[in-house]
Order: sequence, then C-alpha cells, then structure tokens
Amino acid sequence: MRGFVCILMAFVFVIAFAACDNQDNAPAEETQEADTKAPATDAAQTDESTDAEEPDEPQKLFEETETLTILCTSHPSYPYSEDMWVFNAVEDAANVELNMIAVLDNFDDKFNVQMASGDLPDIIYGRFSHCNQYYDQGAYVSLSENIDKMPNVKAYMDSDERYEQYFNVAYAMPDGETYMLPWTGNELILNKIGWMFRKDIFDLNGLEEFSTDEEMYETLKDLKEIYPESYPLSFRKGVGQLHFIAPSYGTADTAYYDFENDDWKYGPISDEFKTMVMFYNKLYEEDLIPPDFLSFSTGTWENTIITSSAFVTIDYYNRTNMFNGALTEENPDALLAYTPGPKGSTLPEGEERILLKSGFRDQGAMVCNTDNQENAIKYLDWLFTDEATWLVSWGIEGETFEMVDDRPQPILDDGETVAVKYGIGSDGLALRRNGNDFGVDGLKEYVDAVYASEDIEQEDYNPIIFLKYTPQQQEVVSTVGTEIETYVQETISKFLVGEKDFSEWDSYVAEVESMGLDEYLAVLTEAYDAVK
Amino acid sequence: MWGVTIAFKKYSPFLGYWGSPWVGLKYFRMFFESKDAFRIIRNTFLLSFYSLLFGFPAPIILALILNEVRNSRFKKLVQTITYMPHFISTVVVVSMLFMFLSPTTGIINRVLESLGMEKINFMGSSEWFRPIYVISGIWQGVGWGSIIYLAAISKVDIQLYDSAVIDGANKFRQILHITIPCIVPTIISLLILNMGRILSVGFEKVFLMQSPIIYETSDVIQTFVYRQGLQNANFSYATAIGLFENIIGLVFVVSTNFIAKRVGETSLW
Repeated sequence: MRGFVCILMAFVFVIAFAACDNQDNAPAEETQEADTKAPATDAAQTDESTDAEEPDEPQKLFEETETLTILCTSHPSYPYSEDMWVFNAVEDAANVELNMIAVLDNFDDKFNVQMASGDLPDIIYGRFSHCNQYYDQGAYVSLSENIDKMPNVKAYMDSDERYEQYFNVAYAMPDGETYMLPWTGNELILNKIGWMFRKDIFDLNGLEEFSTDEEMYETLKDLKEIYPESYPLSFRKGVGQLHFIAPSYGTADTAYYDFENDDWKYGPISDEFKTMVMFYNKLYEEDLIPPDFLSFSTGTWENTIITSSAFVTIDYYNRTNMFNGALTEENPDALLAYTPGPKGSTLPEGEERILLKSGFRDQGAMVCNTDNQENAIKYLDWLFTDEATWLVSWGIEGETFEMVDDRPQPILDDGETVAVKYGIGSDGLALRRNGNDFGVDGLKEYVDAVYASEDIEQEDYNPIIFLKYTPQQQEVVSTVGTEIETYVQETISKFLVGEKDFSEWDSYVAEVESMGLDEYLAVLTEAYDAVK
Repeated sequence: MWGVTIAFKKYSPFLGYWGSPWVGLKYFRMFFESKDAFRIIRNTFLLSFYSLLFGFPAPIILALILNEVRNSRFKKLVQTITYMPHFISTVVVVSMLFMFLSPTTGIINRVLESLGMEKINFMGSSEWFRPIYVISGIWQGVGWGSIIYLAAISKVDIQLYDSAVIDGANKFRQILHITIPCIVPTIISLLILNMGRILSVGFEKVFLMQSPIIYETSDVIQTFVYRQGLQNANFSYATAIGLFENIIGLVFVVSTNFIAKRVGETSLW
C-alpha cells in the first residue's frame, strides 16, 4: 500500500512539474515568436515601400495598433465573423484591432447587461433609444463637445446640411449635447419593407398584381383554390408584422403623432386598426394565412416561402436575394418579386402609404466613457473620410469590385452577395455610405420600381420623431408603455384568430384606456413639445 | 447579497449600489397594482403546481416499474432511452415541439386528421400551453429523475421482501408495503426541495414556447422580469419581483419542511 502511495505521489509531482514547465515555456515561446516576427514584418514593409517607391503612401490612422471594442448588432443573413474581408481591410487600413461584440438576437438584452455590468465597450452602434436610456448617467462622451477632434465629420456636415441638422438638432439631448453620431444609411433601399409575390406563379395562373386589400383577398382566394394545400399569405413575427401593414390603413401599431390634428394618438385602438384586424381575421378564417402564423419563427416563415406553400409576404426587401437563391435551385423560373402591395380600405383617396422605410433611421454610434475614448473618437472620425467610406461600401478596386461604365461592379460568382462574400454592409462599420449605389446588384428591377413609384421620399407621412425623455418620463414609457403594449399584442392576436369576437372591441379599447393610456400619451406630448 | 438592495432603490448602473437613490417599496407597490400581477402569479403557481403534481410522481412510478423488470438488458435499454431527453437542450426540445405540433406539417396533427379529427393549433392556444409544458417536461425529466429512486430502492434490505413472501404478500403488496415506505425519506427530501422552486419555472422553456396569443396562461414571473429587467432596463423593478418570488419560495420550503417534520419525522433540518 505504501509503495502505491509513493508511486502516486511521485506521479503527481512529475505532472505538477511538467505543468509548471509548460506554463513557463508557453509565454516565452510566444514572445520569442513575436520578437522575431515583428522586425521581419517591419523590414518587409520598408522593403516593399522602397521597392514601389511610393513616398506618399497614405499614413495609417494609428501609428501603433490600437484595440477598440465595439458593440453592435449582427445581421442574421450574414452574421459577423472575424474572417470577413471588410473587417480585415479596415483593420489593415486604420492599423486598428476591432474587437467586435456582434449580437445576433435580442440586442437590447445584451446592451442592458453590458451597461449594467459596468464593462463598457469603446463604441456602441445602437439606436436613439439606447442613447436616451443612459445619456444622463454619464455613460457616453459628448461628441458635440469633441467636434473639433473630428475634422472629417465636420467636413461632411458642411457638405450635407441634413446631416448637420440630424447631428445638431435631432440627436441633441435635453442637456444640449449630442452623444450619437447619426448613421446616414437612412435612405438605403435595401432596408425597406415591401410586399413580395411569386411572380412566376401569378403569371402561370394569369393572376394580376393587387393594389387594394379587397383585390388581394380575391387573389389569395384564387390561389387557395388552385393550390388547396397552400396558405398563400405568410409573414413572420405574427402580430408584430402589423407594424409594417398598419400604415397602409392610415394608422400605426404604436402611439404615433397625427400631424393633421397635431395630436398623439394610439394606433391599436383606432377604427382604422380595427378594420385592418377584421380584414386579416377574415383571411385567417378562410385559411389564407397559415393557422399557426402567430407562433411563427423566422425559420418557419422562410420555409413556407421556400417550399412554395405561400406566395405572398411582407418583409425587408433584401430578403428576396436569399429567397430567390433558394427557390431557383428547385425551379429556375421561380421569382419572388416586389409589388407595391395592397392599399387599406380606410386610407383616404389618393394617398399612398404602402412602402415603408425601415426602422433603422434612428441609428448611430456612441463613444462610451472609457479610457480609450480618444482613439474611439479618432476612429469614428476616420470612418467619414472618402477612403474609409469607399472601403466599407465597395472594398478595393480589383479585389472586390471593378469599374464598369464608371459604376463599381462587385466581383462575385453566381448566387453570391457582397454581404456574404466580403462582409460589406455588416453592422458596426459604416456611418457614412455611398448612398443608394450600395449593393444594388440583383435588385435592379426593384430599384427601378421604387424610383418609378416615387416613394423614395416619404419623410412626410411617417417621420421619426426623436423624443428625448427625462428619467421620470423614461420610467413611464418603459412601465406603463410596456404593459399596454403587452396587453394590446395579446388581445389583437386573439381578435386575429377569432378567439375574441369583434363585439368585444369596445371593452378592449376601454381596458387599454384604463391602463394609463392618458398618462402615457401625456408623456409623449410633453416630450414632443420639448423638441418641437 | 448586496444586489438585493436595488429592489428598494432606483438603480442606475452608473451611480452604483451606493449612489442610487432609495425609493422604498415603490416597485413592490407598482407590481401589485399592475393589471398583470395576479395573472402572472397565478400562471407561475399553476404551472409549477401541475409540473409538481404530474411530474413529481412520474419518476417514482418509473423507478418502481423498472425495479420489477427482471430482464436486465431490457431494463438498461429502457433506462437509456428514458434519460436520453435529459441531455437535449431546451432550445432543441422546444423546436421539436413546434415541429411535431405544427397544424400544417406536424406529425401529431397528421395523425389526428387521418383519424378524422379536427386539427389543433397546439402552440397557439392558451388552453394547450400547460399540458404541453407539463407533458414535455415529464418526457425530459422522467428518466433522469428515476435514477435517484432506483438507487434508493437498491438499498432496501432483501430480507424484508423474503419475509413478506413468506407472509404471502404478492408483488403489488411488496411494492406497497416495503419498497415505497423504504424510499419515503428520499421522496420527502426531494419534495421539500421541489417546493422551494414552486414559483421558479424554467424561464428558458416558457420563453421559447411563448407568443402573445398565449400570454393568458404562459406569462409567468420570469418572463415578466425579463421584459422589465433586460428589455426595458428597469433593473430595480425586476429585482423587486425576483425578490418577491424568492421569499415565496422560502416560505414554501420552510412550511413544507415543517409539515413533513410533524407528519412523517423526515425533514431537511
């Protein structure tokens, strides 16, 4: 027994020593490697530059490699990866190491956890509400105070009056400071929501595009007759998608400002909203919408389109790229195409409120109050240079695009997109973009349709209002507002599937009103008066 | 423990624990005055109660049955198959539920249809939420839960059975008068521990199964806290509700323990 213990002890010691050895060696090896590597690369670089004899090679932004931690969202269709071409290109060009915290789902959760933990990133790409939540607690660096350190942003503001307005007025908080650099991707066509339909199926059966909700109803019924197994209309997020449909009925699924009557209104209790819900209830009752659409995940919804069990949908238009890729694998003629979509019966004659801009109009970047703020400001400013804008919008000529007729054409194989292949368009990079030129490959038809319908400037009917809340107001919005929203979502869901009869609509409205709606709208009015 | 204080403060991460102002019981009052309070407490309680009512005896019954199986290869096979689901992550389990129960493509509805019955929109109706939650919970946990009872049963003295056989007891009588009384201490201990969790249903599973249409039965304390705390950054409000939940849990543990002590001389302390 003793012998065994001795052997065991000896064994343990050997392992322990080996472990120590390993620990001692490992960093040494690394430093050695780094040491030998660093001069080598330096030498290589100097060699190259002397060989090429380019004395005016652009100086990199940082002399020594700086690390920046950036919190941002990540797009589900082309999620962030370290190996993406565009991130490496930016790192090279600016001599910066980007430590991206790219959040795929539930950005708000991650953001709140990150803020509450006190472990702040250097830069946050977020929405205006994120600025609102923490600006008064000293989380962010005032950018208007530091504007002199951002010559490129300043130059850009001089060239674009609207950007200057956004920065100095819309984004300015009650304390007079601006904490957020607006993102100019506002008018990006790709981020638009639109109706889409299976053009090939419609053509095959001699069906016409619809322009009112009643026409859509008839068409869907025809489709159901031809394809009895199908549920011709399908959309994701269940009741949440009414957000995109409500404007075509002249209302909204939230509180909104009625410019005609200068008043804040709550959309979901309006008669227009009721008409819309009744219409979609009718579609549901007649099996024109999948029976389980209220519990659809994005994946289930995608499946209905890809397997051709639904022919009409509403979503971000850039989804057609993905869908058509998958659809044409089975059927080369398949085409999911843009259509202006149905106009709600409650919309006044002559008004068009169909194509919605995405909700991304209030995005931007904030610099957090960290030790690294100087570098973060410098880096964000650099993103406004022509060089950086070009790099994050198109890449490098010969590598990612080539010029054809003075227009950059991306270098892609069939079925590839700039986003997936190069990461161009990823969140957490561009603040200033090359406008609408970006990524229109494969979408020419759609872009033409958009320009033709002159929907491009729709600022007037649904402008984003930058409400700035005091902490007290913020609390009302997040408690009373959330409570009402939860109740509305639940009840509207029940109306949609017929679990609640429309004779109960009035009691639903009364219930919403009793939950503090007046208080909530009063806060919105107050906040709005402050920015008007 | 200091974190608990933020339930009584208006917590701001940048002012910290000390710097945030005290607000007393404001958030507790806010919770109990809100329209949802009664419903989410009821839902949480009922969901746990049904899970306990049907989920707690299931592994005991399985263990008793398995104990009677004489073919050891069959017994091992059944054991392996029943505790397999324990290793499947909740996300996968819920996706499986959505797939199997889908009214358009799900296998269950296909079967119902071929039997000439109406299709049921399982995941979209509030009356089905609790049964689905409880039954899938049993499926997930029954095999794993039975391990501890099997261990307890294996400790039962063989001589007791031998003497029972001499007294003329059949299999059923042996289970009733020997096996069960012998594992009662294990059952009681586990029951007390489970009572403490009466208000803490698994957040993950409820959250994943939930959609607004079934809030009526599926909105529980945890999902409410999630909406308030993480999505809306009302950290204090969320903490207050969480604290309330824990206090109820404590009351349940202590009282169950007290009752167990009185009735059966078995208790945790």
